[in-house]
Amino acid sequence: MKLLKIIKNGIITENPTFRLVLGMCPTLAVTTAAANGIGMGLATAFVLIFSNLVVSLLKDFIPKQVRIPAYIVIAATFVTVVDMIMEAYFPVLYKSLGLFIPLIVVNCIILGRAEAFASKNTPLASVADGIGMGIGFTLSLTLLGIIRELLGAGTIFGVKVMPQAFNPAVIMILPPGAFITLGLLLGLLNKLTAKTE
Amino acid sequence: MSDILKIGLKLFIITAIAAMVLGITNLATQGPIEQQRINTTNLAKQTVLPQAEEFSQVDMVAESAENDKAKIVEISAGMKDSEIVGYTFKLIANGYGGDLEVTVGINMNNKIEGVQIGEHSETPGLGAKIVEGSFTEQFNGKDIENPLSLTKNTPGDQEVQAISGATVSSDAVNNGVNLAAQYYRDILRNGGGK
Repeated sequence: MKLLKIIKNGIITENPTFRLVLGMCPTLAVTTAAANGIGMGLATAFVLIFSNLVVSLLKDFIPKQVRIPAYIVIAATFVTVVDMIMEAYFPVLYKSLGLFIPLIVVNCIILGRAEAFASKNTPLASVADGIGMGIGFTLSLTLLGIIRELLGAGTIFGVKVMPQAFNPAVIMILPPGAFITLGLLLGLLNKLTAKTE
Repeated sequence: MSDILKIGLKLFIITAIAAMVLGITNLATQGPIEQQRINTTNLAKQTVLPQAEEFSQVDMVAESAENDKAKIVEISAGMKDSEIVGYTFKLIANGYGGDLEVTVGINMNNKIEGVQIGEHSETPGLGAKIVEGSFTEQFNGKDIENPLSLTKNTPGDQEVQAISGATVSSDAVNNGVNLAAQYYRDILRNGGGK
């Protein structure tokens, strides 16, 4: 039961994108299309789950003074291993995700969760946190991707949904569109939650 | 002092294990990755010159293989029944986001057979659309006697429609195709390939 609560915490209560506002660089950069959002989200979730697990297992071994470099080394190792295995054995997947994989190392969600959660909790709870945060990040990125792709290209997951007469606003898939969409979504969610609270 | 040593040693152990894991992974994946890259290159050649059954690399005349917008990195002759049916050109062009890999196939009827985009760093959703068939297939069947040019409107005979909002990326592909066509006209067609 407690594990489910941790997962839900990552998806809703402490959603990494909309509540913690972590990992903004990949969020802004890759959400030009819904499929990119899902790809980046899942790849991050994968690394997050394993880095959380290892950090939690090693929490008594890693000296406090050098914990940050240790976390970075662990995350970077996982990312590189994933990158190499994917290129060697899953070329199709690598072709669509390859660009995003190295970006995960610098995603502060990985470091943030290692510091804030995995270093203080049991391995099982840390994996649950990784799953929750991973799903939360994936959903947020997909939502951003859907909105930007719809308005900027008239498609969702590459399928045309807008009527022929719709003239796509190219700015939405350019960097300014990322800031506009994220800003409006953050504002909207804050307003909605402020009412319920 | 002993504290610093202890901390340093622990960090060293962590990084040493990480390095070992990476080394082993690299050892295990090196071969397959190399193979994947070769497969990708062969697949690109096959796509742009489908009638060829095998490919043999051709020596290049260096000074004709490069201009300020693109560079030919590899030329292969496509063979069928030990006769040359066309040539494939692997080029690097200057895209919006950096180097852009273009493979062009030209057949013996002086027509472009196919164009394919390999690795690139163009903007997703904009320049990255150059990989789509709706853009690359425009080149198919074009005559190579004169350079092709880009247009924003309905394309004419020697024209290709640029992707809207991605003129630089479209132009890069077009420059690559034109360089391949020029090399073919100037050198290969006159038997300079061998």
